Amino acid sequence: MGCDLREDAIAAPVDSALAGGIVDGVKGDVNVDGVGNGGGDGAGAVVAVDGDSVEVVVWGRQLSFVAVDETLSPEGVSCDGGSRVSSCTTCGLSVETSEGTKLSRVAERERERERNLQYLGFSSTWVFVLNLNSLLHISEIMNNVAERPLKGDVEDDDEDDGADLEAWERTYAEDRSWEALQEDESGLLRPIDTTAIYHAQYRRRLRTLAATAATARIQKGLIRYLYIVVDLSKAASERDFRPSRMAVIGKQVEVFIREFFDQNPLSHVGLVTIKDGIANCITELGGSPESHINAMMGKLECSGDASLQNALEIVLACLNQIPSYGHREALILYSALSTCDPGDLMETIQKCKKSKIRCSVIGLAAEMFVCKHLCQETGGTYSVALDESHFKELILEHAPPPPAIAEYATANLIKMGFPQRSAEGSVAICTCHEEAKAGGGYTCPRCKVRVCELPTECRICGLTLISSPHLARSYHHLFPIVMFDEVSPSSQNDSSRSFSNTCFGCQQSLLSQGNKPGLSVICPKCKQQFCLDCDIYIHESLHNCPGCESSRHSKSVTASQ
Amino acid sequence: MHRFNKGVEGTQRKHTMPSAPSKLYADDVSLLVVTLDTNPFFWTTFPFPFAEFLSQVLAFLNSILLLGQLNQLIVIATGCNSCAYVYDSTSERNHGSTTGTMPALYSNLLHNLHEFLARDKQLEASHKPGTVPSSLLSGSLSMALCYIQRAFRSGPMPPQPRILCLQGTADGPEQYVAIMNAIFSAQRSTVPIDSCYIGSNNSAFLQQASYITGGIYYKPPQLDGLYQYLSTVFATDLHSRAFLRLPKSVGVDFRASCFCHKQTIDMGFVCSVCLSIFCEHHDKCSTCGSVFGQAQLDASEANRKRKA
Repeated sequence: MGCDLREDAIAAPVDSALAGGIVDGVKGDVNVDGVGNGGGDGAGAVVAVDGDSVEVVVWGRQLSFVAVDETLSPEGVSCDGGSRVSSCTTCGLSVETSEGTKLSRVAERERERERNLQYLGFSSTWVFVLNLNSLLHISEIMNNVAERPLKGDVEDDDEDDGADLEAWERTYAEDRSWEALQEDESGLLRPIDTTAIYHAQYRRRLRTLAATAATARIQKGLIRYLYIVVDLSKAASERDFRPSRMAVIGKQVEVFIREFFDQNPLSHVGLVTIKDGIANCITELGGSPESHINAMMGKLECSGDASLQNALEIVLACLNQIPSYGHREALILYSALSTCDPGDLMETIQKCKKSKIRCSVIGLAAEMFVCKHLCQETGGTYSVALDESHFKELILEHAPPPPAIAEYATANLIKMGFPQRSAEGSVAICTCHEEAKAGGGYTCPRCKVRVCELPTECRICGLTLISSPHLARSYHHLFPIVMFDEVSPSSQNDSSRSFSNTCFGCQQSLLSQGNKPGLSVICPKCKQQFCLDCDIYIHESLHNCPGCESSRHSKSVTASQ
Repeated sequence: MHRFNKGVEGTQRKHTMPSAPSKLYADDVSLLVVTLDTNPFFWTTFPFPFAEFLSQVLAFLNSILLLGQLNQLIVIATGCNSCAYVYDSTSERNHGSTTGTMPALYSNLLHNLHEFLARDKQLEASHKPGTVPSSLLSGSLSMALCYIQRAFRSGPMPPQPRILCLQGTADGPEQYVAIMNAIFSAQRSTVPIDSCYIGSNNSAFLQQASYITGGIYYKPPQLDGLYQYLSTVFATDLHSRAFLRLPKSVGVDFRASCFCHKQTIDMGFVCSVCLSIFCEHHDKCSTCGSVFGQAQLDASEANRKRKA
């Protein structure tokens, strides 16, 4: 039956004044298919036509619908919905509105359809069934309608019809592998050259970092106590992230924990999971990445609801015990779109604020007000992941230490010991495993007890034991290297004499195809030229400028600054 | 056979290099980056002449290239005022055949080294007479790591990289942060840093570098047999090292030196904000300027308020 969602109807503005909800109060224009939207400025869409009845979705005060009925004249019918029984002014056909014409609020089971309509941009939708020939069982029609797909939707969206595709077709449809191709000048397909885009993104990120660092004296919260809260409610089993949200979270948390300890060797991490409305602390605050990862991998199962309040309460209880110089943080990976709490969540948020816990949330579904509120109140960041790679990016943003906020942790001098590594072959009993071990341990300088690994706390005297490399690992946060200036190929042509054509770091030629100078960067201090790959490596991993390090002159300049 | 060996290698290397995930490497192809200390102030005060040292090192470098046809060799000169690449076995210029009396390796390397030394001398900055200025090890390490990253980018099966530091000059304390940064970056990309230290005392920087990255630190007791030490200890590729009895470390000095008096301490105070190390209690951090001891004050004030 030929009825479509009309473009003009869709474009009509939403009128929220659809009050009353009874068709008697609604002026209606009835138009027969082929004639069009008969003058009324109503906004409506026919969603189903069944022989002699029409189902109309109405938004706005006036309704219009399209009917296909062989009993109606081709010119069409327009009726005044104001009267209970009305006859068409054009053809005289009586149009009766039966009980069922009461605009019925979309029933529970119609929710899915409602969502479809909201997807099209309508905030308030009503569905009612108009009986043209007084022969109507509303419920029956509604049932029919529920089973029928929304025609307009099907045509708009080609992603939702995945069920019609074979599995192998679906993987291609989802991957959109064709988007990674572009045509070159001769019409051949090539993969998109992503290096330039990637580099531009990286530079933008660097610039924002540099901007934040320049505003204040660099003080970073280098001693962090972080709880990672993993939502393992039913929502985590959704498969919109492949293979599933839970699997993606598991993998990325592992990467994150390793990266976190690499960048913050003196910090501690704990793990909390939310499942069945209850939060569980699966690992206490600790400094060993392996123990956390193993504990988490054993617990990757999801069920039940999520409860933000329970999770925050546990984190609060655990983080209240840590020393005052530590930065308290919670990183919540939230899959659910709701929270099922035993009490007032807002109170808990205020408690977190009072305890100076910086809460950050990464959502996997959609933005939620309560999460945003939590992050704003506690000074954290809120972000929602679009896909797997975006999620990875977002979670790794939490690995470098955040700028220290003076009120959040007080500066303090911490007494620490620097134990020496004992010579290979010496035998001693270690306190961590309580067994005799040959060689490779460290001796606490205060109580002379043997420990196996650093950093740790002496089990006997409580002294924090670290080695100087652990401290040195954090120093690059304090002495960041400047951003390199970009050299455009054109400016390089003007003064090409002063540039060598190789990267100072890796000796790679900076000439792109055809012996033209490609993109490169230059260190503002030592004026050495680098390729883009080295630029990224130097800023992301090395934290040294090879040019500045290999010239004594520029070094003395930086030292005097 | 090779594939099997790789598995064995992977498991065995785990013990020597903690937290180092094994990478996929081309079989038995080594990329050796050598940093060569050319600090003239050191060599003039050192009893062993530089010419003798260089002739033994050149023989060693040549043997590296002869060990495998695909082996790659990079030499970076670590000067007193600058650092530079002096030899790259992959560049086409260096593939020429022997010119008369000397192999191409020797003539090219010596030529570049001469040029480098002349340039380094021109850049000379003033220093206190009677002291030996440090060589720029941080610079040459950074360059070596950049080059190795380029090798990693070259394809799915990059050669196995390693760095060998031939160092004589004592550590320059001002390079501490930069050298540590380079060490951590090498550790992250699983590049071992071997070090052959020929100076008088042990070098704490190189000891830490080799320990952290899983390389070998060795201080040859007799420099006359330098070639022998180099070829038996440092010429072996990473795979073969698992089967050798290599010199064990005599212990690594992980003690820190305090920022205030530059003393080596085994217990001290650390600023919670910037992690600066002090040997005694201070009221204010000299590095980041944070004022200490507010915590107790705040707490006591809060207590007083609560009581009131």
